[in-house]
Amino acid sequence: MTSERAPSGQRVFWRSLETKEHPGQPRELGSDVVKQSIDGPGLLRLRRRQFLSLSGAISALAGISCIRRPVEKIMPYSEMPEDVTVGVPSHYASVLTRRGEAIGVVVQSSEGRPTKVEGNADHPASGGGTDLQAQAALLDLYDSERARTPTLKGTAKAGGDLDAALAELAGQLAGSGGAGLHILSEPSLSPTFLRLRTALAAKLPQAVFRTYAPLNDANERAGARLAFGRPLLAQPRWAAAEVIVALDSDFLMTETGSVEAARGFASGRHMASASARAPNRLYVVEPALSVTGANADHRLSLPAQSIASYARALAAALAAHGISLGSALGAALGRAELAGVPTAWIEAVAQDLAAHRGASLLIAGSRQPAAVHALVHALNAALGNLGKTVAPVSPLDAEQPDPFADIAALVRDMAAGSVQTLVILGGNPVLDAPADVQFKEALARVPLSICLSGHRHETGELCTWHVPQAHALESWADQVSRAGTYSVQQPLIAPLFKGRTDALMLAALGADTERDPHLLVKTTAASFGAVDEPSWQRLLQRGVGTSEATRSATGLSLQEAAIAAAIRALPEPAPPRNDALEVVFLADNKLVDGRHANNAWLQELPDPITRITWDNAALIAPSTAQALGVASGDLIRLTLQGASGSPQPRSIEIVAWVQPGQAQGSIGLPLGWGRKRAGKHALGAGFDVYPLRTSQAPHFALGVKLTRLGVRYPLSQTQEHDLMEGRPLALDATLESYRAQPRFGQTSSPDPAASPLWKTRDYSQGPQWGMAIDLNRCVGCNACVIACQAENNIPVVGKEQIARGRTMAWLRIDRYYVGEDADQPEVAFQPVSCQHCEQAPCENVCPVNGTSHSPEGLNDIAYNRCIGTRYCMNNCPYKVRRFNFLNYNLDIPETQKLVYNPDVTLRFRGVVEKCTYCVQRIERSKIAAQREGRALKDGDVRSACQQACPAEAIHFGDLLDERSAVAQARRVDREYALLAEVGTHPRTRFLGKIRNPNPELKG
Amino acid sequence: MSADADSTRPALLLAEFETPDQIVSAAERVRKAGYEKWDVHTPYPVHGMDAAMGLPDSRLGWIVLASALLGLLAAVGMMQWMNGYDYPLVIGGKPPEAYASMVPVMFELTVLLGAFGATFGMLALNRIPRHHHPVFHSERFEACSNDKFFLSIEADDKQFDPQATRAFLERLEPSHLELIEEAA
Amino acid sequence: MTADHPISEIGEAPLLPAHITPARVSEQVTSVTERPARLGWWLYFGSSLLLFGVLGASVSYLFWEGIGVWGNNSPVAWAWDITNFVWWIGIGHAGTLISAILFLFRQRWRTSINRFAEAMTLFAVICALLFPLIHVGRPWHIYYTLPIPNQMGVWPNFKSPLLWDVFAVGTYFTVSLLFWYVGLLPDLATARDRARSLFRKRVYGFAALGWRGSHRHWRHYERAYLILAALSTPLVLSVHSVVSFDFATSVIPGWHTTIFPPYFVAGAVFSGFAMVMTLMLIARQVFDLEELITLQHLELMNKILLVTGSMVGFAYATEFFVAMSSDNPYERYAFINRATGPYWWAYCIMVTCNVLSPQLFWFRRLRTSVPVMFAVSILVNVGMWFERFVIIVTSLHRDYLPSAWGYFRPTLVDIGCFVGSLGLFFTLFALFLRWVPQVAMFEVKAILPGAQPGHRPQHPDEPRPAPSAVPQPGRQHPEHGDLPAEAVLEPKEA
Repeated sequence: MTSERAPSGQRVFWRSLETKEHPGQPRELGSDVVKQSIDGPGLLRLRRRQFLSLSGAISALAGISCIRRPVEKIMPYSEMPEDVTVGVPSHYASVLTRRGEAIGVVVQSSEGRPTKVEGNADHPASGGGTDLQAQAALLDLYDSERARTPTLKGTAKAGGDLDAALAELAGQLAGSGGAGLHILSEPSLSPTFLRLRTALAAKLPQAVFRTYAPLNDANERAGARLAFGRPLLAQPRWAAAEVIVALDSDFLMTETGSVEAARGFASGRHMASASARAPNRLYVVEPALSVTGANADHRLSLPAQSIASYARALAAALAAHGISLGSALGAALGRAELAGVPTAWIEAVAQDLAAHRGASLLIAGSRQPAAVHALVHALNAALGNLGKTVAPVSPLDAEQPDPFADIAALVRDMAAGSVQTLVILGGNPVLDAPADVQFKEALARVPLSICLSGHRHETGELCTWHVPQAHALESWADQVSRAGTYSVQQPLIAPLFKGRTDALMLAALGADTERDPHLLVKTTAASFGAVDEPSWQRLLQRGVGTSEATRSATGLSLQEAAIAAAIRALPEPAPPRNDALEVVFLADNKLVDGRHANNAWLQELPDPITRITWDNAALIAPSTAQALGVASGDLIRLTLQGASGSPQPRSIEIVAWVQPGQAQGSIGLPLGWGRKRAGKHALGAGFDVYPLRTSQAPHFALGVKLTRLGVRYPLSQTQEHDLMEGRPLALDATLESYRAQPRFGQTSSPDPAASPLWKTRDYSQGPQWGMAIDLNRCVGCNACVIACQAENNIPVVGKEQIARGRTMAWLRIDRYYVGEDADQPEVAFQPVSCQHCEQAPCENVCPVNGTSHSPEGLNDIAYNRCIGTRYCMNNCPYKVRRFNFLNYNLDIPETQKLVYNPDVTLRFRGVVEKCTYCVQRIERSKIAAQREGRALKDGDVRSACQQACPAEAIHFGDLLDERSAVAQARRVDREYALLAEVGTHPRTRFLGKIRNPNPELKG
Repeated sequence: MSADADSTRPALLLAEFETPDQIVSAAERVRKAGYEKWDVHTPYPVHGMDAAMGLPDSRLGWIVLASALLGLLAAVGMMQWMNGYDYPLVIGGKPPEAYASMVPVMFELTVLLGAFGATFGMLALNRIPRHHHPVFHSERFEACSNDKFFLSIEADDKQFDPQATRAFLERLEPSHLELIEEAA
Repeated sequence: MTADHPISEIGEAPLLPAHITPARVSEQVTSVTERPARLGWWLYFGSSLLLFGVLGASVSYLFWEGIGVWGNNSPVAWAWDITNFVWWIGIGHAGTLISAILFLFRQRWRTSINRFAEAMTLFAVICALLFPLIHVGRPWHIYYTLPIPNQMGVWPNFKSPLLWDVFAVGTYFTVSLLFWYVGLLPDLATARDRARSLFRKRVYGFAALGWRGSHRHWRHYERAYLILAALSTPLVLSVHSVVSFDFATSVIPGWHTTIFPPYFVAGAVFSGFAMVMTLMLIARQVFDLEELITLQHLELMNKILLVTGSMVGFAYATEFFVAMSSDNPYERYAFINRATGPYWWAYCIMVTCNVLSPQLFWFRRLRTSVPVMFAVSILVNVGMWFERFVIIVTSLHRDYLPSAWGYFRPTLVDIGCFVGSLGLFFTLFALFLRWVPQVAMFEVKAILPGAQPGHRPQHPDEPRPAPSAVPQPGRQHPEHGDLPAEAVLEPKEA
């Protein structure tokens, strides 16, 4: 962030030597020397200065007036500026929670409002990168449909009323020792929250505490408890792994810790040249094509229920390769084969693993039962990977029970009427609790229910009290990352709607007398090393605590017998039939479990795999779809026969989508869509699949019947064609062919190198901006796309406009299927934005000189000159230019306008726009460098996409600087220009993708 | 038309003919008679009349040539100054003052100004628009734009003599002959 | 403006029957503008006006909401808007072509139809100019395309084919207007002289600029007309070439083709003649001008349709051949996609209407049958619209990156703008038919039998033949007998 830093100390600008002599003197006083040194009468000059300072102050005030600053003293990321300079954003370290992970972030604050989220390079779970949801968090914060006041039975109340009610309640509870009080919260990473919960439990021994989240690490903990007798979480060291076997684990996208995983995995893929060491090899066995599966060197699609059997077979095969799991376990494994799976897929993988002892890594997904996790632990141990490629760590809240059992127990109490008071801190159980426990019905029987949540959602509207929850960017909290890094969550802005934190609610219920969330956190921080004010400030500034909250588990001993028993207990997989299909509940790539449903950026972002916007769909394998006579866009009904023991069959209606790579007989159902009470963006988007989800089978269910409804449902895609048509676009090569022909990129996409008829432009004067995108590192997570949207104020156009082909995204990640077998496709991702061609076709055709080249090699658009002939769009071979067909910035709620980046113009209808290489960042860095009297250095300017990328796939910088990352990247032999043969000489170059297939498995 | 002599004066003698042959031969004889300020009015350009009247070739071509060249120069000047000098921009990596891409506009402006030269040059040479002319005072002259042929000798021709000229024209056997007067 | 009945000397029947006299020409043509309009005209005018209203509504809505009310998208950023533009421009070619090129090539039969064609050119170009104007995202800034100073100090980009269009089409419209008006002058004088009401006298008189048929004027007039014709000829060929540069200079497969200029010009002539044909057949019926616009005229037109239609067909074939024999996958795909892709139907319509339907004219009976030629002329108009649609939309919707491929569907507003532009065209045409002499009278008179003098100066004693008498053979001018009017402009005989 050095480039945006406010200047340290008092910086005096001097226009002449005389003024330099007296740097200490404020210029307003203006010594005679100074006056003489500048022409014009002094009086006039003073007036001008007064005017300037005044207007500056006024605009600053204007900035203040429209937002509310936090009253607490918060620390800037690096150095504390004397004051906020209007137009110069400051940056604050904070932390955002993901499912089971805490990602350290640095938030940009423009005139007191958060305008951009970046990763915190010092934070191990981020490493400077972020994921989709972190980039989109801003829009969650500024969602105008968040609850604005507490409500009692639907009628708005003042905050005071709520305080009174809570105080009264606390009084009663203190009397009764908390009898009848049940508190339901989400799994928490916050020491403060846990501290207060313990305190409250001590105060109110009768109170019952429950934990639930639809997506959780229960299986993982249970698996570790089986394997080691303790609930542990596997903490892989991705970069160290040379062979990775992912069993139904989408660790690059939807599993816990995807940012860290992407970074580590990408560095394990990296190849600086053909002679470099081989990249890691990724085997993925999964039911639905995930982003991880898309990055696999070998991918096997299996129904979720068969994964365990595959793991057993693999283990058995490993035993044959001398990887001994002990007799007890070995006996439980069975034979090294699996019906319907080529033996090579077991033999070759086992061989590969055995050949990489201590450098291999098996990982099981959270969908898979505990036994699989236990077996994976055992295999990793047997392969000597423990401590090398994977280190089990003890979680912060070690005692956390199984959420599915917990919520079932809670509902039993509710139904029994023993729940007098139910406090729901976060979460949305009415929506996402297992369908069979029937939370909603039970909730009606609870006399007093209090729900804390951002929106007055499905649960909130059914509770007695609804309390607005503060967003992470507007409230104090602390989070501990999975690996144990302690961070403090700083508010960037006072709660927009007087929201409260869960910790504050606990305090209000009697856990603590302190009502100041800031101090609540500060107290906790003391136990994490922030013992005094300076260390507290350091903590806030770095955003990373010193001491570890959890530590990697040591002295682990495998409990073979337990594992063996668990494996024996595994049900034999019943191969899915077309009348008894399997459904797999997928964490959605964008909405996760539905909590981001009202985020328009995420809604409009095409799914990385299906490229569908504003909807989810039931993913069906091509062969299965053909057998069932289902086509993409057909509405279908999925009926779950009484498998769950419940009398009446459960069913949902959803649109079908024929998805290459989907396991045959298995249907993927992304969770979190079809929200009814989440806001206008979520309304009518997608289909709710929770009704099929039961506590017995929360991850995948069997015996589902599919019936066609004979109705079509319109889906909006941003990419309707999946194949490259044999064109050299997203180029890849296997490792061997790469080593045989390092320059495969340039040979398959050759530059005509025909010397033009004219004297070409001389670009030898720096800086000359350029970009290099390493397709071998890009995992296709789409974080860059949202980062671009947030940075450049890109409007959302809605499902109907997307269907008309009017997406506005400046940066898109093209997804192509490679290979013949529609059921087992290989996938190629390619981020495409403006290539900033040195011989840009778009510039030639603009009649009004609206788009032209800057001396620094940028392809610029002058919005106020553009008249919108759209000729440039036609003549752009990359089709990256976007046109404002309508006024897409109409009717933006006031609160949402706070999200706009003040450095980027809003585009009016009728104007063409596109990627600018984040020219506003370039200019800001140039100004900063100038003020610090130094030259720009590599890394000063980072484009939004580059900064967000967790895999460090994007390099940007000055091409003339030989040592710059981008210059080096472009010297890599894999480098090529997209559509080079058109002769556009793009400034953006790609590095071809390297696949590392196992020769044993080829063909 | 004929009013009392003190308020009007003779403007021209207008002889009307039926066929193109008559008007051509009449024109030849008027020319031979040495008249200078005279004219022939026909519904359409009658062929061979230039020879008959002894008219020189039209100078319009030169006017058009000049204006067309002016258009060419204007085009080159405008484009070079605007794109090459006053506000040069890097467009598609090409030099701002590239001539190749300026050819179409050069051509168009040449044609445009050429056409202006032709049209307005013609009007200027013909001294029109002119809505008042003595011939319009004749009732019969309306037939000139239909199917009749007229020959007029103006009164301020130095050979003009009301009686002699009228007698001369009589001998050309016009189907009709009248003296057009105009306000003094 | 030509020697008397020279056609007979090149062994063709005279263009016009003998009983047509100059007076009859004036009467027949001018009376249309004098007598009260017939019901037919009112119906025609009313319905045209209605369509014109549709245009007004559509464009207002378009300006209010933005281009989004059309079906245009990315990648198909140009669709019906530019299709209509090119289609109208093409139609606008026949007029000047007939007037100028046929004039230079001394095709005397043009005299009955050139006024028509010129008017059609003007109106078609007006309709064409409409679309570039309304297709931009911010029409209120359209003046940025003109080289006039503005607050930004930026000038237009003379490298852009669109800017070439501005100049080409602008010049073409201006020159066509001048050409048309210059041609009108003597006929306006006729209308003035025939006028009985003072109002008509004033209006036509003002428009006629005081034309008095002076031969000293005819001399410059004919020279001006010839020069305008000489200027218009390269111009008319250049305009559609420049329009084709919009596509030919781009990098898009299916657009980036060197054969576009001649191909577009041929297509333009083709569609232009078709439209002239359509209109002439209507007017001929409505105003019974069968005597002036004879079957022979129509047959000659049909021959041109046959020729240009086949040229267009040849261009289609060449395109395909070049693409297939090129080693460029994108180019190949573009053309395969045209014929077999999602827009195959448009391609079929194009080929059927443009290449196949004119082949009927190989047969004289069909060539001279009014219903057939009317049907064909309509088909060709349709087919040429689809040609532009195919070139623009099917090239754009699938270009280089399959990830960016799309599909275009028109909206009601798209249709409204196109149909409305027809309304504008026919409205203007209705007014023209009603108020302007629709046949170049003085040119027709000049080629009537006996319109030009014999060589022998008449002796007063000889009996004078009646003006309308059919001339005996051998009554021509020895020097000029077989020379057209233009010969007058050549060096005089000694």
